[in-house]
Amino acid sequence: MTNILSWIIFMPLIGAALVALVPRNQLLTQRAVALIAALVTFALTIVLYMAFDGQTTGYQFVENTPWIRDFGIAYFLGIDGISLWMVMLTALVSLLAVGFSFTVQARVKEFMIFTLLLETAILGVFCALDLVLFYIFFELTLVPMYFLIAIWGGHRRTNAALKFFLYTFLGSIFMLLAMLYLGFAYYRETGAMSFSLLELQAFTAAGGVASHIQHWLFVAFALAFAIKLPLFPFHTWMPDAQGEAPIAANLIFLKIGAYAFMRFAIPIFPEQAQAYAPLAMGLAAASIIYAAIVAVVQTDIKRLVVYASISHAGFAILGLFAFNTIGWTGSVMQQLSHGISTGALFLLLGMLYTRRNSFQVRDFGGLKREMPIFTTLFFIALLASVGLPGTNGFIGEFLCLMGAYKTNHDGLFGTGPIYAILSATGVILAAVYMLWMFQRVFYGPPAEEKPKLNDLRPWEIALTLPLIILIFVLGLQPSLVTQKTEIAVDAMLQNSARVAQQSPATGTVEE
Amino acid sequence: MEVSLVQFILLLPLIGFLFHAFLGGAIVRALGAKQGKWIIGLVASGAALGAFGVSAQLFSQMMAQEESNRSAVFTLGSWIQVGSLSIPFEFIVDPLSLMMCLIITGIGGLIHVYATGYMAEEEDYPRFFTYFNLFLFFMLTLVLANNFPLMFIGWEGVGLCSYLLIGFFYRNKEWKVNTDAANKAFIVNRIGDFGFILAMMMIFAVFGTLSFSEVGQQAATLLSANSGIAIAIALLLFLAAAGKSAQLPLYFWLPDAMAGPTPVSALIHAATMVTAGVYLVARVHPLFEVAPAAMTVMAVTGAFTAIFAATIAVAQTDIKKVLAYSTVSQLGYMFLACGVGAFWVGMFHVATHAFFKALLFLGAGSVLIALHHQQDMRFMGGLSKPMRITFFTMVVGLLAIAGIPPLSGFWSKEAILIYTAASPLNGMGQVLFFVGAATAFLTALYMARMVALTFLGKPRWDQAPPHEDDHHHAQPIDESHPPKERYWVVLGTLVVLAIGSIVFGFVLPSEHAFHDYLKSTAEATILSKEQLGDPDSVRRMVTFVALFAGILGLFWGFAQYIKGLSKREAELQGVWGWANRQWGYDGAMRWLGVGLGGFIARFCYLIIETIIDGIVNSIGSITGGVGAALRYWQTGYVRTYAFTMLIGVAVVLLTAFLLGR
Repeated sequence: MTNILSWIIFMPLIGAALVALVPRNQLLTQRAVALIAALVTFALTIVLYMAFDGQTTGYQFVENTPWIRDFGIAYFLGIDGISLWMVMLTALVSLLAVGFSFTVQARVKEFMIFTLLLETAILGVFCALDLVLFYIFFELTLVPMYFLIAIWGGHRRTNAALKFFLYTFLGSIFMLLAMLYLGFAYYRETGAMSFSLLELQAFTAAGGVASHIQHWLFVAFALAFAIKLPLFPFHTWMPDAQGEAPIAANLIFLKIGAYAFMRFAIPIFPEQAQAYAPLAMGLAAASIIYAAIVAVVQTDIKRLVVYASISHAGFAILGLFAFNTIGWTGSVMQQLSHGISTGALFLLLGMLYTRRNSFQVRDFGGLKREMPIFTTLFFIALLASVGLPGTNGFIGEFLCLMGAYKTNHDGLFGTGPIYAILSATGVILAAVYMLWMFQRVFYGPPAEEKPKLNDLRPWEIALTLPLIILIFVLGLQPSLVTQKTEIAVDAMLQNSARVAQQSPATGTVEE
Repeated sequence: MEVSLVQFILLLPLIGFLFHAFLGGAIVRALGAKQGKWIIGLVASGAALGAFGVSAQLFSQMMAQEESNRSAVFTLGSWIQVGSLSIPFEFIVDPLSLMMCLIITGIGGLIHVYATGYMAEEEDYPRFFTYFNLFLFFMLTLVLANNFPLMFIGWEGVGLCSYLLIGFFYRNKEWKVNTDAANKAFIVNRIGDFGFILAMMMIFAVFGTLSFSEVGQQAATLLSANSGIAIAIALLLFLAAAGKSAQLPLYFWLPDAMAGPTPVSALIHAATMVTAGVYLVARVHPLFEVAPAAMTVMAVTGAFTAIFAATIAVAQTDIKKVLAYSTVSQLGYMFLACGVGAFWVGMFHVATHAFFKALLFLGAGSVLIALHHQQDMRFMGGLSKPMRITFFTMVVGLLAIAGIPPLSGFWSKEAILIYTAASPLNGMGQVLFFVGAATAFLTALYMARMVALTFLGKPRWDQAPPHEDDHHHAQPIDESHPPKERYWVVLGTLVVLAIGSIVFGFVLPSEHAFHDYLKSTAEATILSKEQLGDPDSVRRMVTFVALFAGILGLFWGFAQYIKGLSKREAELQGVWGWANRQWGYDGAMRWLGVGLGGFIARFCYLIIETIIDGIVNSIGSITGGVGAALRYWQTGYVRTYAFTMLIGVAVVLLTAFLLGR
């Protein structure tokens, strides 16, 4: 049990290695091995869930061994109530992604290898507590993602892949520089290097780095994560990349940007994060509104969903920079529900694509008549996406908005309520783009001169059902999640508040 | 009283929904259309009427209690629990919520029974009752909830069902019109819901709770010091109410919503869902009482919507559209009552209106069955002879809505006008009273016009242009095949509702009985006697004016329209055309939403998005040297890429190392 996180992270990698060993012409074996690897990984996360102690603060299942001693880099893993859910969700959607990818026919072996590699990278991001280790996993996501887009992507895959790679890589170089600066500054003070999150947190809190330099360091971190998220106006790689990416990549490539803000940028630089909160909330509101407006006029269903997910990411940031329990819990919920409901939409769109090789709105019509089961499942995922109360989507948005609005009443920023009010318009716009698309694709007569479509097969329903069930479970009993996250959230907030109190300029943090 | 019974009120429609959703199609396939539909209709109506039975049981238990003891909360469990935000699944049982339960399940049950006949020839019969039962569940959740977010589940849930049912005929020729109407309803309602969400944020920030009971008690102490927030909260809640209850500026989705099947129009878009806004206002009336400015806005908006919609109703040619605008207008009355502080009077009109408007819609539905879904009154007339039961019950509905005593509508409308006339309301009470009285005249006029055009005069139904309806009747209507009433469940429902409209007036002769019933929950508690005015001082005058207006409207309507429409009116020339097209309001809103909104969206996508992307790309080409190097390395081998990355990382590490010194 002590190494369970390592097992979880590297189980997909082991699977990838095994897939590589399977002879090239044995497609079914390749697929089966990949599926088993994903399944074992998911099973391990369930073991993790059962062993997780929901009552204690601090990181659990910690593994901390020195890695590159001279640079103070450690193989440092651990999870809390927030990362627990991210890990479980990643393992689940990866399993569904591999299951769905049985439909992939071209270069099956490489596809499965890259898919599993992507899973390892993402799982690593959610478990790493050493900055360098985190950075490696963070960058490692680029490689499989690049190849998945470039080889199995849509028509404009080459450009999309390159743009995605360069853009996000550029962003993270700033973070790398800031990270190294921190490490060396630590070296100057203490005589040894360290990239441990906990030690760097204590270091900046004790004033190890001058305040004006911390500003620049925070901006460098924030830039990397804002691009990854993505936040307006750094989002233009996303519609191309996610729009062209194969479905498996869409599913697994979760919102690691918001998590990185929560785990690294804010805890290391709490004071700076709070100083930049009005800007961050402003960009969040802009993302929510702008992406929703642009989503309305999309003619490609998948790109519409991608813009919708940019809009949803804005809510996660809005709640995060509220700096209170409600906002942060909302942010975690929003990240999870986004993975679930948008994941379900992507999965279903993938199933649609296997039938007609198109995501274009104009190629469809009257699906409700031809594919009633598909329509029902898609509609449920759509309702979760527009945040209908009773579904998971509502909980995240609602808590983020409530948290953001409350900030002002503690005299902290003075802008929280305005941005909360602006962001709430996203609720109206979501109904506009989703329902208009739904009308054109699902109602009316079937598209002319197109062959009839078959409804979902049992295995496709089985693949979608876990996400559909989660939509309602999290929508009606969110405490299943929030109970475990709240302790972690409170611990992190207290830590930020302690730092903020030392400098009287920023005031106090609520709760 | 056994508050836990409230679970069963909610559970029965939910079971009905699940039954139809999972088994409906299979039952029809297995047992054949006739028997399958019979079972589905039985389960659906049974669920509704069963819930009515439980509600009635709970009601009688409640009435046996002391007056101060009639309110109780039942908590089913926890829903959202984060930090200081605690939102349980809690339901409130009190005179206000039980009154709504009785209306929803009682009238709703009757409409379910009616629909088993009305929808009998519909292929998608199970789907219809799936949505219909689900609607009941959400509507009951809405009225039973004891906190804002739980009410919001019902609030958006009924909106969802409304969306699904307006777009019910999504596969016939008119699919675009129907689904456009469905989208419009959902989206315009979402504007109201936006107000609901903002109000929740503000209330939680001020009160630290979202529970109705606590908010109501603390409103006076917490908000009287901060009138700005008080007005904002009240106006946002009114925005929410205006969306759901079709008031200006958001009323314009309701006329289009008539694209749904007629039972839907009767249940959702007349008797229950659209009154949810009035219910919300009555439920949290202390929040409005501490914001007199918002009350004034509500009263003026209600009065203006009432007369505005009434003028539009006079110029309609579609029988369902007349009733739709009439509903908007009557809802305006209800908000007028709430705006002058007589919340319980608003609820009184909710109750009476539910009876007579459901009756009128269902009567219209009976006419549509006979005429094969031909809705244009220009091609009706003379139906009183072949459709006796429908005609007589419709006349009862007409007298009720026109405010003729002793029918139920008279008492509630009279009460609204009395309290309006008595209210000082910054000197506007008198003005609003005259607006209300003028609306009463117009109401009687357009309803008499509708009945006259439909049932009286010479038959014009044989001149109707051929049209395709959803049931594909082979038989045209002509001399040898005159229209006839069909389905005993349809006629039976009409008779029951007509009797209800009459009896209700005798059970509650004058508003006093209703006042006593709702005293504890919907009576103004913060406003003073002076702010409300003295109703008895104007009672006699108002009764006279209201009666005069109603009778005048009826006579005028019958006299004018018994011969059918004038050419000018039938062809919608001049002012008739303007009135028919909502005085241009809907067109303006369409321009604003679809036109301007669409322009902004295209501008963002085609211009701004291109500019941002252009900047990104040009930054990319500045590093052209890097690009050239990349092209050199782009050999297609994974190891080359990996090697490049490694070099890159090493360079960066070195740079940082030097910088760090």
